[in-house]
Amino acid sequence: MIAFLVRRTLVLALSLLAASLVVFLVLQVLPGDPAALILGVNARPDTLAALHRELGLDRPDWLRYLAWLRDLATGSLGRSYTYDVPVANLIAERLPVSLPLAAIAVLLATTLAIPVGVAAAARRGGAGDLALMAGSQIGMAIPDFWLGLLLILFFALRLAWLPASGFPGWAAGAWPGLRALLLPAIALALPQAAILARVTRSAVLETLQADYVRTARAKGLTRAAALWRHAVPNAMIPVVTIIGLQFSFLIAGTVIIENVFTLPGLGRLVFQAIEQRDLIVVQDLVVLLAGCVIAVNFLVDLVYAGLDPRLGRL
Amino acid sequence: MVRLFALALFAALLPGLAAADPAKDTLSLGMVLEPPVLDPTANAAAAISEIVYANVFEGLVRIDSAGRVQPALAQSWTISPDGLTYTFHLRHDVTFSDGTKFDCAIVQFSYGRAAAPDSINPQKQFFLPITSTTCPDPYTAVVTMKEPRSNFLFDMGWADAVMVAPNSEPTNKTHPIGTGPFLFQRWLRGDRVELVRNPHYWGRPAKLKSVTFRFIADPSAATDALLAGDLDAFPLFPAPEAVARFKSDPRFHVAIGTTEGKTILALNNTRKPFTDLRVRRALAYAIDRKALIEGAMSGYGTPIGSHYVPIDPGYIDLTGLYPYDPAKARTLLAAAGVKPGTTLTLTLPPPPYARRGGEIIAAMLQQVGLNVKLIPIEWAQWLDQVFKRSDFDMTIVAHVEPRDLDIYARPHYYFEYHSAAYDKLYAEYASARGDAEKLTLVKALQRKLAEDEPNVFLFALPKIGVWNAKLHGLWADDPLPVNDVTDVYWAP
Amino acid sequence: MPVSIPASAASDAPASGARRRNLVAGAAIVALVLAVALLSLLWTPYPPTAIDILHRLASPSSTHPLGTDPYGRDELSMIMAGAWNSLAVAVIAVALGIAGGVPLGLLAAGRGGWIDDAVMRGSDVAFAFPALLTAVMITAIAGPGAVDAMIAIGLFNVPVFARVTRGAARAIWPREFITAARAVGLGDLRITRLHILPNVMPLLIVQGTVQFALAIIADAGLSYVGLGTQPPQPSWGRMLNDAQTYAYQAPWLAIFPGFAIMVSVLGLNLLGDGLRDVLDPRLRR
Repeated sequence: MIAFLVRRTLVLALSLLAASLVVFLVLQVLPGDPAALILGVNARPDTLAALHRELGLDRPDWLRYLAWLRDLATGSLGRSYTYDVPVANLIAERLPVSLPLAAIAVLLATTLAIPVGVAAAARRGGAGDLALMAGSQIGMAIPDFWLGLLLILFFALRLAWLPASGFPGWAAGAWPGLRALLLPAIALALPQAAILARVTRSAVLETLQADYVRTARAKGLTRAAALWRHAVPNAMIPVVTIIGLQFSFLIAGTVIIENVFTLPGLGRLVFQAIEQRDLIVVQDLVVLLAGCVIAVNFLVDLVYAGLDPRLGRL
Repeated sequence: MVRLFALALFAALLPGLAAADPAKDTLSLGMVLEPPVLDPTANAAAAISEIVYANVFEGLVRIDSAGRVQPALAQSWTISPDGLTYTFHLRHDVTFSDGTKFDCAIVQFSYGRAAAPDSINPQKQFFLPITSTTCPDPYTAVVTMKEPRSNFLFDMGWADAVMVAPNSEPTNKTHPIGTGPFLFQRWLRGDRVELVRNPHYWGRPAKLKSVTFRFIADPSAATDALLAGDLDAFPLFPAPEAVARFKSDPRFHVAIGTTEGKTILALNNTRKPFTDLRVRRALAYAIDRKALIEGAMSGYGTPIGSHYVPIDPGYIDLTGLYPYDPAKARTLLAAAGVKPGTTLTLTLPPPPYARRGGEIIAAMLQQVGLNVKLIPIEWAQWLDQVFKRSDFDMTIVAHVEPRDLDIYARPHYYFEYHSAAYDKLYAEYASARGDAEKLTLVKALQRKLAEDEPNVFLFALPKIGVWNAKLHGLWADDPLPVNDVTDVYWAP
Repeated sequence: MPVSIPASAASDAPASGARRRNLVAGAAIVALVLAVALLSLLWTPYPPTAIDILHRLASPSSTHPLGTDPYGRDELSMIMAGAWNSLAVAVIAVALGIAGGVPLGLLAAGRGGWIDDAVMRGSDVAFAFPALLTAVMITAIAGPGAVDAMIAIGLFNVPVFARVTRGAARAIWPREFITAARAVGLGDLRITRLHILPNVMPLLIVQGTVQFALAIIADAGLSYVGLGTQPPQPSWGRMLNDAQTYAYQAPWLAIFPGFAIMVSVLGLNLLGDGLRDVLDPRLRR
């Protein structure tokens, strides 16, 4: 077990290092110069050179990579070229938009999908099951940004119940903030709910076939009791895994929705940073997000390994 | 992560800001882009001067709403007959908002910093002709030049030439300290910058108590915010297609003005077939400017016939030189030996005028037998590929720098126009001393460009301002990219 | 772009009759989209790129059944041409994923040991990258365009196919008929070609259909933010972007391109489910 832990930790560290190196190398190929964007069309060559020195862009690539690793290790994440403030600050400013948005979306998706999935499994083959499965097929086929657009057309432009876009900031109060996040959260949640409902349904169906559920039924437990006491709790392991995956996907995957609703979240920060060639911000965010997913995978592996020693070499 | 989330939720529960009081002396003004920093002497982004120019930072002179040079921190000046020495008489009673006294040493510091070897001033070329700035007494600044510059005072009115103090210079990017009628209050990144009235301002105090600049990139969000009253004004409204609904609403005033944005179809003058004057003229005949403005800008924008806009002194209308005439364009192309079906590339930076305009121009050039391949790119790539390396056939771009006829006289500029006759004319204009002489020359320059048609001149970008009908004092035109709110007030 | 889920979790249709229905309905929808795409190469009501400023933003009528866009182009013609574009991008992206991922998966399963480890950890890292952000990065490097969108989406398909192939192939290697093939002296390469690949194929077809649907959504998303297919080539994603700008004046523009995406993706998902039920013996209970 100890050897396994050491091995996996080593792999984790190497994965993170590999991710950082890949991002760094890829971004070196990106054409364009942040200094040229900062100084505009009248900038002279000597002015550009002065700004390169100031930003540290005149150093060789490997030195900049090492300096960046140091910044990652210390948590300052380096200094943004465009904004001239620590990247950690920029990211902290965007989290109050991206995290609640992803959280509300996952919450909506879960509260919608799990009851639907369980109900469908309980009445497998019935009309309700068929309708729900057909609905989830359509849900999976709707691109979230189109759904967002339709929600804007209907709820914001036609009915004027909710704002079409923008984010007033939490300082304006909880309600205006939630109102601004509601439509984008629904747009994100519906396609995810469709997937989650299907996963829930098949997981519950699988556990319903399992020996212990059959045994419980044989012992005289009612169908409903067997479903709620045995099948559903045991089916939650794959469901929770998918929810976890969806949450980490949503934090990074809201770029397009943030564009539809012009929300100042992490996705737009990265988008703007790429436009401005504020490469250090891009590097930081991609590595942070990749690091989150790698770490979650690592934890999941550990949990599974704890549950079943044979899975150690998955 | 969990802790941060808890923080976010906590922030969500804080009470909202107090509602505006009935006697309105606050202003909430919308802008499309957020500035990256707030120091106009260290970054070229127009969004910076749109907040701080005249409101927070002031120069020795300033530009007014009609594009004229006016006194600011210098109450008067004299120019020596040879045009080489400027003597500025400074105001005595000026302090920066942190208490630092303004005097000639500040002028010396500001101009010296802009011209220094490690300067990152985006307009460093303005300061290079200065040989020295001396202080015979604390309130007199004598600037000596290498050669006469007819535009020097106008240049010193730009946001890049404002006065900054040595002690606040390092932090101006995030917390600007200037001499203006407003003080920087705070910056909520991604959302707004707030300014408040400066109680110790040297001049006439501002009428507004506070001004909030809000950043709303999305056109439909901008429309909503105005309609809902969240914004009082959007001086550079981004959605020409939505203007009609404000025009019909008596609560709003719509001001259609002009900016300095000379939108051109730039041609690579060293690349075939653009080396041939007949081809460049053919392109000018092939483009229906009126339809272009209609399609790309919903009808807002003024056609131009040279690299100069109607709000600048000495403007002449040269749009009649190449009226829309596809038949003539085809004849000229045939005469130049350009075969129908020739493929040319058109590189398009991100703004809507370029992306929308590009699609329309491609269709128009198709009509005269040219195949146009559209290549949309980001600004970073445009600057690198088109601007720095001149690797392009055609591109659409708006030159927003005021009175920038000099770019056609530069030895290497991305469109590579070279004309000894133009260079000579420009040199005369740059060193002209009398106003009459300057006006004659600026007209000759416009005419020369229109004749040579190095680029196809399309239209001046409009300034579409939408604001509350009770609001007064905002600029209708934009001789500089600024939102001067020093004289803005609410009608009772 | 929803989370890429393992194909086996996505479905088991309620009843065997419904399984057939999935296959038939899916195949019919996909055939329809394909037919429209092919037709657009030969005929559209108007040239899809012809600009007509005088008739811009016309509402649906008998002359323009779906109206016209902000440049006066015929919306129906653009949607037809957009179908071809969408399918082309998705086909090539998935083909890239298969070309890269299948050999890697076969190699990992056949060789095992450190090669297997390296391929699997590599695909972990690749999976960990936020897909959309990386696609944005790639298109920023190579410049926006349909080809770059294909490459960006294709790259993210490589680890998907590598994993699916490896998983399926690993289950086949220990089987008796492989041991028998070994006994008659066949080399690993020939065994892979003759026995492993054909047995992995059904799973690849199913996963390929799922990835195809995801690629259509991804391409639409990239085009919506201006990084995918570029004008004047019509694309559903970009049409939606144009539609948003004119949401006040011409709300109908937002309906049809999204509907086209939804129908195509729905057809492919149904087809994938149907194929899985037919091709994957493990699910036949």
